[in-house]
Amino acid sequence: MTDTDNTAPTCPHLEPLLALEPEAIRHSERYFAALREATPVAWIEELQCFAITRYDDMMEVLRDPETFSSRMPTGPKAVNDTMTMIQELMIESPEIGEVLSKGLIVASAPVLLNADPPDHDRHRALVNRAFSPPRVRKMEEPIRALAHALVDDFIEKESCEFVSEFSVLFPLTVIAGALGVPDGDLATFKRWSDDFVVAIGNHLLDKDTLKRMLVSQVEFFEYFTEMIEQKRENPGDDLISDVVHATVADEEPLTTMEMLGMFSQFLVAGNETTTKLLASTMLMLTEQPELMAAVRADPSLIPGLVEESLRLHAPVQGLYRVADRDVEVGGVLIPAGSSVWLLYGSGNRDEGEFTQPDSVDLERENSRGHLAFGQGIHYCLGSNLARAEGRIALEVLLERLDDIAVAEDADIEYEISYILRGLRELPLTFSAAR
Amino acid sequence: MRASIDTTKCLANGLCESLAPGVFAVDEEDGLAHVLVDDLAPAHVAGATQSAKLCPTGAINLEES
Repeated sequence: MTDTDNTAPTCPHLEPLLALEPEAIRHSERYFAALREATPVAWIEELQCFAITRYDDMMEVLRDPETFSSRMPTGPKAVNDTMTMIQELMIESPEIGEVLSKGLIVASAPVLLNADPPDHDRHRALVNRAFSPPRVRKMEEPIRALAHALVDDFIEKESCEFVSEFSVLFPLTVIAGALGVPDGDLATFKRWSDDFVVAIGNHLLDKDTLKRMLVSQVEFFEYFTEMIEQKRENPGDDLISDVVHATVADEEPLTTMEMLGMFSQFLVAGNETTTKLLASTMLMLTEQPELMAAVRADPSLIPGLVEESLRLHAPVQGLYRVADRDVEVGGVLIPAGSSVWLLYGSGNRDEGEFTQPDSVDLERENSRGHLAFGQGIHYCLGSNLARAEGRIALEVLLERLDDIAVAEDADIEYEISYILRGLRELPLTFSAAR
Repeated sequence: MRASIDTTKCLANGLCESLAPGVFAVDEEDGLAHVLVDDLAPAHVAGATQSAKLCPTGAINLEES
């Protein structure tokens, strides 16, 4: 950092959101819009970073990985708060110090999401193939069968809690299956996945929760270290075997730590995000009957619906980069060493890029230009899988369920985070389609 | 118009093949996008142009032939 005195305006627009008020989380787009309008590149004191809210400015950052490092993707505040709490925990309960530091090492190994070139490019070269369109096409049939099986389990009740009965189980089962994890371990898998994201965009975290997260990291570490050894000896037709045996000419094979980091990212990214996408899309459909009618009448519009849901309710509302040199963005000097927060949820509603940005347009020409999967070299590795899961789930749900509505007494609440956007639950009523 | 792909940048996310199915395809073996045609038919130009614009890593180049 050359100088803490910077020229970026500071502004109060995000305060309710950063205080994690439920209403502000639900309508985060309003706070983003105010910020985008007033100060598109703004210093946010509470988060010790610059918030970037315009689409074009974000693209510039995302397409310049040489200047902008991914080493702290969830932001400096999350990292500092976590480190402080871990230090306190170590003093309070030294007997668990070993577990804590081991958990921390696994959680922070630079892999894919939080790695920079050349390591990042090496990781991607080794795993891009695993989620390519032809690979995902081969997974479609079992994914569709899974969607039907989950609907079978609740259809006779004519009601369900959509998050726990469908949108959690669906991607969880898909990613666990792809990794080659036995079905019996699904519940443990979900617990790890939940624990790994508790600190993202939530600075109200308590020490017990953090401790649980690190213990989960260690459990995960041990489980997959053993799995890697098994697959080294006896490879199967699964993602873990693919990664363990992946080779690319002139590239170093992955270390065990890199593999563990990768699997932990597959677990979280393959789960939490698609869960949130599906629930947000169902809510959107129940809130807009004409939209529901349109996709029912013409299911070929479903891929467009998935893109619009991603754009309007991106499960990851923004991630961070660190500037490695002094650089100007949107006319504001970003001093070397500063973190920038790229608010994808804001860029996705930037009227400079999307016409009538707050409305759903199923045939939007640049529908796939949204930032829900990021942009640039870190563009979501699982985007093909996510798109296929979204499309297939909606095809099956709309085929099997009629008169879908939110249950009358339901409270619509979002998870407490200013980075992740997801419903806690979504009670639905429906009738079985004949 | 001709299309080419910088395979060092390709991430196999398949945006190109979904936007311009007759022009690009991702190969299962090498996990990279390939151009299927030498010269783009007029009907392919819009999809290819959109692909070049939206490719997350800017791996697609288009030039007049």
